[in-house]
Amino acid sequence: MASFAELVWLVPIVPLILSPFPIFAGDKLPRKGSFVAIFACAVSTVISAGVLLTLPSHPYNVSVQWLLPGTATSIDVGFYLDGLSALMITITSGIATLILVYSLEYMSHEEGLPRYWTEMMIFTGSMLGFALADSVILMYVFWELIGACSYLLIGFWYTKPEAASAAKKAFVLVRVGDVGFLIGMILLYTNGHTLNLPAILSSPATLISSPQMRTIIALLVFAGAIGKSAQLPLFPWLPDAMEGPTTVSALIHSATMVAAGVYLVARLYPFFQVAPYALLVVGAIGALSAFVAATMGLVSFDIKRILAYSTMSQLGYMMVALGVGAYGAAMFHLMNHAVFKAMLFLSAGAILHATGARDLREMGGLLKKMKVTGLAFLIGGLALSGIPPFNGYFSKDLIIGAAYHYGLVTGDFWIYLLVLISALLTAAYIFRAFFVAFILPPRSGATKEVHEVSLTMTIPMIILLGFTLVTGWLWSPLMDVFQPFVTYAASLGATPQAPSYVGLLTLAFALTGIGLAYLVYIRATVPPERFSSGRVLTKLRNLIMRSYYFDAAYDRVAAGVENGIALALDYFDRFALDGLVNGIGRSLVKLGRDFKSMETGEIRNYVAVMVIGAVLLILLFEVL
Amino acid sequence: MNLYTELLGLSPVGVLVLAQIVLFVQDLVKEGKRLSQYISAAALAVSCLLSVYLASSGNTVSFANSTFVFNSLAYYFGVIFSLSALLVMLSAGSFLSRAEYAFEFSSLAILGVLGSFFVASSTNLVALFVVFEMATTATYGMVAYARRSKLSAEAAIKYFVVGAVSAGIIIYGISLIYIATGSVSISSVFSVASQSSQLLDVGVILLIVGFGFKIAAFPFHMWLPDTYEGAPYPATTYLASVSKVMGFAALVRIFLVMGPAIYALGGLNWEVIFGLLSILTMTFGNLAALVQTSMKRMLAYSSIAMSGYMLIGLALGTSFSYAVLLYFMLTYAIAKAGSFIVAQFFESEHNAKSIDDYAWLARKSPLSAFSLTIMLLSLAGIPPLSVFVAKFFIFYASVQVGGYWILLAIAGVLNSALSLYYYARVIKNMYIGLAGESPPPQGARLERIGYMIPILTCLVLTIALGLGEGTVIAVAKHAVTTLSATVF
Repeated sequence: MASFAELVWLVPIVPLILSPFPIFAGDKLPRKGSFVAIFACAVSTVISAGVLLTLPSHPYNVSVQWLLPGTATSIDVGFYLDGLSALMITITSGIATLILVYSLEYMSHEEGLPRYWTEMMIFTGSMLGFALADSVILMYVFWELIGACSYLLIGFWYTKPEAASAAKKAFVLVRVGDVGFLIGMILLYTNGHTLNLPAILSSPATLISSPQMRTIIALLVFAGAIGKSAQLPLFPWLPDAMEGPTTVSALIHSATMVAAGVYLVARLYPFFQVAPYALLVVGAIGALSAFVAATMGLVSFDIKRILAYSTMSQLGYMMVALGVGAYGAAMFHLMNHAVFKAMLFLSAGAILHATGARDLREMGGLLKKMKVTGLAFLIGGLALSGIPPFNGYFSKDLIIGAAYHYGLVTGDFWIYLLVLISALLTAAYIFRAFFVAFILPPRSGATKEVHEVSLTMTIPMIILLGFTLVTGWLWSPLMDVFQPFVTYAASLGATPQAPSYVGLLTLAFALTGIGLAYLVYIRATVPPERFSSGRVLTKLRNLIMRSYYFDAAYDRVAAGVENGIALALDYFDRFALDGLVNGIGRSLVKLGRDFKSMETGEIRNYVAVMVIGAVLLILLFEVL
Repeated sequence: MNLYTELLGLSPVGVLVLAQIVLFVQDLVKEGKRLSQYISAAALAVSCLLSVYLASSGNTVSFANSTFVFNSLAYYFGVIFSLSALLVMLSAGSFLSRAEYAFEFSSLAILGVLGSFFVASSTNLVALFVVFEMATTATYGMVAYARRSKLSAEAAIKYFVVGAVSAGIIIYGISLIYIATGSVSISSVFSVASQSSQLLDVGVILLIVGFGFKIAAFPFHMWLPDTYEGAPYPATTYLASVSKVMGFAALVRIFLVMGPAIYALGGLNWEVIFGLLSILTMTFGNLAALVQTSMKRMLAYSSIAMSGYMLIGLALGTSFSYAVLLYFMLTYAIAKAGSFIVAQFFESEHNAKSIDDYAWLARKSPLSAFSLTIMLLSLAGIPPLSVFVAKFFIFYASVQVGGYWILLAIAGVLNSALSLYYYARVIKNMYIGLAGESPPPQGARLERIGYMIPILTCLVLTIALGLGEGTVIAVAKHAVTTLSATVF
């Protein structure tokens, strides 16, 4: 009997193969080809789920020789199926399907829908291919496809200047990291002579004997992950990417693009383990990103941007988990985060759909009018804050516990401190958003009648809500089926456990965060305006609101580099090239005129030239 | 050899002879301008199709005591001759309807193709000279056809005088070769009398000079711009396609067979001569085309430049380069004939003579403007159009040979880049007009079917030959190997 594992190649292929249908035939298909997209992703989901449930005990690998066949350094491409990739494709295809169903209603009034469906299919298919790829080069191919699709989707409303520039920004900043990944891949190939995952994962230390080289490669690959997962310092594209449709944001932020960075590190984790200092860098970047993003989430007024910063912050948590050796916890958080973040984004999308507002200050009192949306946002917020029994609690608790354990072992507690404080900030910013948007009465009188969105949009939210309640229990005091499942190599090790008081402290911090938000916004014990008065606070607030001046710095650097290059090019163009070209052009034209003047129209001259030519040829070749 | 294959092998020529007779009879019985045009076009079309069949099937038929041998090479050239002449006849309708005598033009056109056909198949220098002159004489008549026009008469006189001089040079060259070798047959095996190797060399150089007139190699090209400009358009098209390819046919015929022996016995490095002429010709042609204001004259100079590229094929002297040369001539003839036909159409329809007159023509005659664009881009060497493929292969051939021959490829590439400038100017004028001039108000006019048939044929062939170059080059390679393998 054919097992599901043998069908796994269909998972990325179906969306990719069917992707041309909407854009080429969308106008003739019902609902612009949306059903093709949903059908393709649903097929992927069913197969992925089947694969996940009937996973063979050994990794399943099919590959074909692609480049340099028949040589010792041939490059194979194919699919590699184990617990990790099976989990990833299930998350991706499942969430993508729900988001596509949601888009049916959410995007229904947009122009260019066939384009939207096609791009979403390629985006999802690329992510699935990335997760399943069995060689680094194939991963890179899909990695770039993900980047290209994100550009197209973020810039879906390309006539809006903000959307166009956000798409450009996302593409360029992510590319900076991609270059690192590319160089890392080339170094891996030139030093290790293979790009096949099984070979790299089985004995990474013998593959490349020099530890320095291993660290260099690991850090270069991690640069790619920084770009895709929007970690410090390549994060500014993420909040700007909110200019795309909310469904796109939901997909990017839950299961596709940003998850790709974490997945890349997780996939190559055995390699990172034998690269000295590499995991330290991963953890440090993750902790700093988690903290910085949480502070930025606290001061933003745009509900989608708040969610974007929270994504960056939560990805920071995953990086921390990877950095401190809690590989299983990182993947656990990846899954849980994908579920609740997709739900939060869909909820924000529903608000946007119903009210047309993204700014918190234009919202208020929505809970009464939009019960399902409000509930989804509340549950998502609780999960994000790490409140039991929602799934975020279980994974976050594991990560912070592992960070504490890491501190005990190495004596370095600052990673732990950063993620602990971030937990407080996280709870504070998400509940600030919840209270302002859903509980507090609207600031200006409600001018628009607001209704709950239709079933097409609420059902995906409800399904995700169910998962938020469920997935956390997969690795809980009750049972632990998750960690053995994703642990694909013995070297990965079990996630270190911390004493239970650490967990209680984390919970206390999270509750304090919610409590602070409650005090400031609901009880108004300390009115929020207080935070924007006073010199120190104003300065701090400005610093955070300007994204710690990263944007400004990038702009300056870009402008400087651009101006410098432009100036040099202009100089070169004007004086060297133009002079040269014009000079050549002018002298050629002059030469042409001279030649033209040879044409006297006098036939005796013509014959004379001809005879002289003949004589010259004879002289040249016979006499001389 | 049975009668059937012999008849089949001679059929492309036979059809043309028959058509010639029918034309004369028809003129006696009933004068009809249209009818003679149709008869000649039909005969040329049949001849072309028969040649295509015979070139690919590899028939060989001897004629007149093996003075003329029709083999794949001859048929291949026959395809180019009859196809180009067919294009000329198809486009000549409006010119002929205004001419005083219509049937002679058709007759001359067929005569020229007949002569060219024999040139490509002759195995004897004297016979080659005779049929060469026969074809050339036919073109004299065509150039002078608009005899009331001063320009046409002047063009014909210039062409005739220079042609006569070069005929003299050719016959002188042949006589020197005869003195040196004691033979006039085009053969790969011959001997040279003692002390007379220099005589052979001078004879060969004179042949190059004489045929250089026909292909308009620098510095034997000077008649060409005046003649092309003065001659009526169908005659110009004919000169640029049939007549020029005939010059190359004669050179290929002679040097493909005799070349190695000439080098071995006479010590003449004729390949270097062709290389030198090639660079000079393409550079001169392009530079002069750069400053032209008249469209017809620009096309005339560009056809000189194209001869330069094609001379690379002769200069390299490898069987691959000859095969590419054959392919090049086919693509060149079609693109060039097509450009001249569009120019003719634009002159008669919009009175467009100078390149500036071409402003906004794409709005008035979109289909022919598009065709001209494609053909000019092909001539400039833009992929995937056919002349690009030909240029690419010919440059590739020179790189393959290596050494100093790479210089030919470098010169060719630089020249191609240069040529894009003047081709692009025409295209720019057609589509976005002149600077500071607003587009004309009137919309597109229906384009005349009489012109559109040949123009669209050229357009389709220009694209199709570029995409399907494999088959043509395979046939050309086959043609080259049959000839070089045959000992006469």
